Amino acid sequence: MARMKFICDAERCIECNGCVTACKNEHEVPWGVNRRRVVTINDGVPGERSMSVACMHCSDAPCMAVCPVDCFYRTDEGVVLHDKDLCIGCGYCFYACPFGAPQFPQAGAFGLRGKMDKCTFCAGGPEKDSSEDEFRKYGRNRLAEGKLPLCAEVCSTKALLGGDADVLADIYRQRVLTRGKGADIWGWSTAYGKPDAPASQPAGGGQS
Amino acid sequence: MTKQTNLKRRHFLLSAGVGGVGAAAAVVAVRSSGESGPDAVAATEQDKRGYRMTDHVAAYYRTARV
Repeated sequence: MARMKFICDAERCIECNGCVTACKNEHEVPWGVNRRRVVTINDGVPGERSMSVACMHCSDAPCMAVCPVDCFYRTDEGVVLHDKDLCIGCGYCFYACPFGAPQFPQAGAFGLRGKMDKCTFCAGGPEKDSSEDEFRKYGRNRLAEGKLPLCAEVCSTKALLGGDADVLADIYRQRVLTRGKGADIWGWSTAYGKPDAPASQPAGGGQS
Repeated sequence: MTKQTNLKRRHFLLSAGVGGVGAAAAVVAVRSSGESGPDAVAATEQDKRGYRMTDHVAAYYRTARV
């Protein structure tokens, strides 16, 4: 049985936020909720890295462990989903999740949050596949349509990968082997010269 | 007269007994149908279609290898 996973190739992510936009549009996610977001480390500093982050569908998900009403469940493919009919909006999952994946649509008096919302790996919820109820609560069920999460499919640089973990591991391994690491990255010497020798200055400014 | 009264009482007890057995059978039937609930859920879950290798998915994997 295939195991669904996301992986973000930080060497490729260009912080375009296309994944975020596509997700919000596809699932008609309400205001104030972002199932996916792009995090940039060392923003503005040379060597900055960006990563697209959402629910990582953990194998031992802390949100599942802390939920007092046990509204989470895991599908055969390892996708962590939840039942909004059971969710009481307590927010425990939000505090437990190391990725900040659980989101709440409201911020009102008395801690009113509304039902938790999070990335479903485009796998819908417990309702009938592609039903109106399912779409209203969880968004589109692309897995049932024989597709993969839209965020991964629209990624222009294919930095964000989603799908069968075995296949993704193969793809990522191949990328690392091809591009090398650090200054050995494919195309580095073309762009910046060889790392151990200073790039030669073109005579006469290179203009004819 | 007394004998007839006794007979009526016996008929009542008999009918009550048969009715009780019937009610118990009905309860068992309902419970057994309730136990088939998970089967029904399982059938529903089987109806749910998850990940599978389609042309669409294969095309995605192919483009991601670039």
